[in-house]
Amino acid sequence: MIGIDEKQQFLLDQFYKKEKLWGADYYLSDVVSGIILSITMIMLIMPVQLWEGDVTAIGIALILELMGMECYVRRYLWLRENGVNKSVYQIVRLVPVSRRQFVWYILNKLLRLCFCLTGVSAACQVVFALAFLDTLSVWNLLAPAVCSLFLPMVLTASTLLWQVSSE
Amino acid sequence: MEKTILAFEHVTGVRPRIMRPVRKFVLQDISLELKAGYIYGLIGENGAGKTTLMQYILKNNILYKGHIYIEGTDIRKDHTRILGKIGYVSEDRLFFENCTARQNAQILGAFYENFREDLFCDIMAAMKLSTQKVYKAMSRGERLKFQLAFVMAYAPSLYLLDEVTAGMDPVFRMDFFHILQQVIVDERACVLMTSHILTEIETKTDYVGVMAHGLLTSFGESPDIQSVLKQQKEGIQ
Repeated sequence: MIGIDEKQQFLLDQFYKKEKLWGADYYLSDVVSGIILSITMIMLIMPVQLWEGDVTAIGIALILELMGMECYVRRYLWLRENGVNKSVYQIVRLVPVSRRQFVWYILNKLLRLCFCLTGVSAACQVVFALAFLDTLSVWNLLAPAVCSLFLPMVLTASTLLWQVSSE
Repeated sequence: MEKTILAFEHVTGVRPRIMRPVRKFVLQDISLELKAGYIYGLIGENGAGKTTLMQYILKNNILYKGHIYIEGTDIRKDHTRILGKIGYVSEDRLFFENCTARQNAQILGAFYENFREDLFCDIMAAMKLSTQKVYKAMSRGERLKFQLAFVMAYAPSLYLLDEVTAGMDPVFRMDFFHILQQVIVDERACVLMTSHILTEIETKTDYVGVMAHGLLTSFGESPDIQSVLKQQKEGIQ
């Protein structure tokens, strides 16, 4: 288990609160991720039975979800300055914050959003499936969990681990 | 009694099996001890291992045998806290390019327990550098001055200066060493600096280490360095 250091988490929280100061793309990433995730949510709250195995629709929902999550998490991982992308970790790696706490801070932020989106879409799937289609499938729970929780978390965790281990 | 700030005990880099073909260079059996109140210099050709030695202290993902202690604590045991005791100044160190010196200090200084913003501003004023200047608009010398002011503001016990005086004008270099003397005057900290400028190392540092191929080939008082280098050159020939 990750030992959470409250003090370091607080310091990272303060650091990211000043992001408006150092992150030029702060508002853009907020707005873009908000729009994309809203569109995805509209798709994901529709019961999977309505999709009738349409791989294209599932693929589009998945890609949009990952794009939205990527936009959301980008502000924690990347910094664009003078046309050059830098990893935020490159800047904080020499300050007294451990890699583990840095990784945990970002994953925790994403996890909260993922849980929230998964919970809402799974609940809507179940309610709509029962109310309008009189049916329920395990995919009503699995589809939101895979699209909104599992894949975004795996992708972000991989990017983060690559970032902190390649420094 | 002089306080030991940094100690290397038989530090030898370990190459991970999968990295062997890529990363060939590692430190080899480095042992040294740096005391508070002195300026230490490290010299050697490009690729001798000067910067690598500093990276062993700064990064906690480098594998090595032996021990590195800072103020008696093995850095592997509490690397995060140890980073708060190190003031690393280098051209390669990254800051927020679009923020002013003061904003950078506020944002990153918050991570250090001892960071004092008023002290940072005082040091910047003493260096005749505006705290409102944007980092990307600073010259190389100004960036290094800013970095020095930043690290001095949290009073680290070990200053690591990587090639900071290269390409500096003589006035800046004089100012710079004057500041370094102030840093060590109360004998709470020591400075380890790398440089290619032999005369500078010889005259401005108290002790000098010579590195070659990842080995610390000699370590002693600065005035002896010319003879050591001469012997080394003869040995190679």
